Amino acid sequence: MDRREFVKLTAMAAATAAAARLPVADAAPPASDGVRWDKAPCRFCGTGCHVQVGVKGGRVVSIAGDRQAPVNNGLLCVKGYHVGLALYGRDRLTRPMRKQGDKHVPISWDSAVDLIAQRIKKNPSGFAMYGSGQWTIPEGYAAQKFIKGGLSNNHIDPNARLCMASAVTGFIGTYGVDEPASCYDDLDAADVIILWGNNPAEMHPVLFSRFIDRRSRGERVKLIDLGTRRTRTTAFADHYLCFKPQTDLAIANGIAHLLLRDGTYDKAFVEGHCNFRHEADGKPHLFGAPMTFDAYRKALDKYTPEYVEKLSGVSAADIVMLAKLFGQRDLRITSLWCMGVNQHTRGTALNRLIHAVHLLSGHFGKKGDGPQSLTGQPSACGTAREVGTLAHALPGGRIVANPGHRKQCEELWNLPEGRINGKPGHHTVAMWEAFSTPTSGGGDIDTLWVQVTNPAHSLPNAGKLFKPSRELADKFLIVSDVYPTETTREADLILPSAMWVEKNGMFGNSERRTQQWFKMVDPPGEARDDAWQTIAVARRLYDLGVEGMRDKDGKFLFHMQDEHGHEVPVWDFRRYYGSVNVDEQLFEEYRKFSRLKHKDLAPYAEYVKARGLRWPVVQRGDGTWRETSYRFVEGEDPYVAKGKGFQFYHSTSKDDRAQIWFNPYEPPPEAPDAEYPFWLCTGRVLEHWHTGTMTMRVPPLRRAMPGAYVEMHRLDARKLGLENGDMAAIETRRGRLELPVWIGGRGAAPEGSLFVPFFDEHVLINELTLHEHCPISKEPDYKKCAARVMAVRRA
Amino acid sequence: MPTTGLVVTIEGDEPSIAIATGVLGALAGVTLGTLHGARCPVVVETDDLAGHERVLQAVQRVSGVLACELAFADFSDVQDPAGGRVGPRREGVQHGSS
Repeated sequence: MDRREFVKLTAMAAATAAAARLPVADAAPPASDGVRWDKAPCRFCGTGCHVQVGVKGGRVVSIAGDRQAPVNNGLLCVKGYHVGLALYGRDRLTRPMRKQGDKHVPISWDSAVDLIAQRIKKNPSGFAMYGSGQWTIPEGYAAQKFIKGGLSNNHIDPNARLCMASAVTGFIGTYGVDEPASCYDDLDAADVIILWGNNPAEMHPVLFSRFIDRRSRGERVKLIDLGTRRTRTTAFADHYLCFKPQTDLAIANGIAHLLLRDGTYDKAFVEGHCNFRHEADGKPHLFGAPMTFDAYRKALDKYTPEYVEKLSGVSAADIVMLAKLFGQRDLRITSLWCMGVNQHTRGTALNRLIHAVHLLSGHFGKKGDGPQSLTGQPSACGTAREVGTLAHALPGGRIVANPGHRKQCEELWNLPEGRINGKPGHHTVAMWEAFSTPTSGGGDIDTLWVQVTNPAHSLPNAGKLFKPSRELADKFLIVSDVYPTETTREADLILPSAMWVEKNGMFGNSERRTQQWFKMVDPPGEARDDAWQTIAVARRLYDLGVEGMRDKDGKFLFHMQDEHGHEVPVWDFRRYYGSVNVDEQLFEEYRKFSRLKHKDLAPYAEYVKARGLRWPVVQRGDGTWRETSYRFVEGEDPYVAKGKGFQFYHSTSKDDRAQIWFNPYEPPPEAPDAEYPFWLCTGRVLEHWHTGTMTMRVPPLRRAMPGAYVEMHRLDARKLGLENGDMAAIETRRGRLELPVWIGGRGAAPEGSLFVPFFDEHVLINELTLHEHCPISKEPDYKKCAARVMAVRRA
Repeated sequence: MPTTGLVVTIEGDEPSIAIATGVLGALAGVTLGTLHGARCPVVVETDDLAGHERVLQAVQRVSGVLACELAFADFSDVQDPAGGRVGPRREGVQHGSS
């Protein structure tokens, strides 16, 4: 058999095994012709699919769905298919470069590290790091320790602030602790799936395929799409409920109103396990104040189906239909949401209300029956939320404002008492405002280091938050990335980074699953790991005598030693991969933080063997490690006491109860008017991930979706004299762009609405979006602002 | 010569599925495996990435195809995976190395 024939048979065997759902002993296809296989989670979204990566001659040459991975059962979406090619764009960054005039010129790593260290030493409190949910767990942990444990200023925030911060505050306000209680297993058991402003057919296609698979096998699964535009997902929905932007708050309250009015709420569950909560004085508050059941009922009084219909445009009959579903105890209902709920000026409130509807109706804690928020980045949960790279957070669910938490971290890090600053650092919007404001005008950030993200493209209202800094002589922007981006273009210093399987890594996905992989190929040129970059700068500061880089015994903050107890100088890249596994040492240190909030992690070696494990992961009597599918549920969660049934053991009311919140509908900060008569919504498309820096380098993906467009309704287009392909100018109060019109494409905006994807660097739609944000989570609203449209010319 | 193993999910009753698999099987470069309910294993083999892309798009356009997912992809003998004709990136975003 020749090699081609072997490869073809391997492809057929893999496809057949996946199609037939055959149990398999081997995770990867058989080795052939020198191809070596190893596991890694996909580089792209927050689903956390595992791939098998085939390497030959130092290059990734094959990709297969990992047949032992419970998340994806051997299957991948179009982005996962191309994940190997994302490494091989022709314009990878390969050398550190410093801006001189209008050009970037190469400099040595040594000079680059020294330049950063000198700037930090000069003004440590004016230094900030901006990372992402694409940081691996060890990378984020190193950055977090460097800033909070070393520089004591807390100015570190991830771009996850822009995508899931409202989910965090929603979980904390409801359960007292972050992250979903349920998991993806729900998709295999739900009778009804309700999508709250969510388009999984494009954004989380492998999860959506579980639903398609069930339907194709004849299972009756009802899909309800609550959205502001038709998407690919809508085509599969039994009910599409199109609501006016922002009125999702009213819809959730309308369901709760009917559950109480009709007596169909789960009285036993509510009385046994829930309290009621609101923002007593009407001011936004993370924890709020208690309210009685009667006061809760009264607050919901006005959310009659007719009132909700008037606000939302969803018919009273459909509101009743939703409430009837939630009122049925024998149904299993899964709610899914992502950016539509989180990127919302009342994102925290809406997250709380979705939880509230599930708690009130008792649809919680059973397989297929519960609320499950999704994330957009591969380690938004693992790195941003669990490691705590948010400006107010510390590892393992701790916060900087809590003296006890600071003390615990100082002890675990062996730091002198008082090293960690109790004042939260700048959150994303505030950080970039400070960087874009002259120092003389109070802009207290003068050096900003960006890793693993592209803020010039992805920040909202970029003309206000990003661009001004580039005109200020004393503001210095450092960017670590793998490809040239809008942000590297404006950077004062560019650092080339290793990507995905060019380095060791760990991610944490949307269902609390921690995943690990090993480096498989070398990065190009002088590209290096982001964690190494952080450690190297920290070491240079240590050598310069900066006290914060020492623990209380005088040891380096990132002191690492080999199995013989000898210190290994991992700040020297030649020693970074050698006698120690830096990821393992960082993870084992971080793991100690994970027990306070019952997010227990297993030893690194367990993740090497597994396709991820969902925390809390606890050790059994026989020494093996057990993951947890459902939190707060007796028999599932090891921390629920026997006989309790459900136990919300981090309850904010300290009585093991979850909080059912009331939050009123509030109008958006900006809505269409006579001058700007359209709603503008932004988002992603199937082929491209976020700002397209990786997927736009993959020719098939780029050809499939080469550029951004404005999706609009046929009648709106006709009124403006626009046809498919014509150029239209989109204007908001913040900027103007020209885009081709797409009518009747894969999505369909209702009359009066526009949709523009944000992946395209040619048309930076975020120069037009709002930076108004949820007052609690500080997450901006990319999903709605007012815009106007004008015809430009015939294409 | 890129080679892909796909799982194609097809909607409808048996006759509809049979029609769809007939159309799929007639596509150049496509080999069908044994149908498992509504799921059909499909291998796509073409001379280059661009041709592969065209066949994959054709597979997804076949009436009745609900989902098309990847199980295996080999591009070990693709000479320049980043090559092929694509539009220019934004002028000025490229950084010179000298």
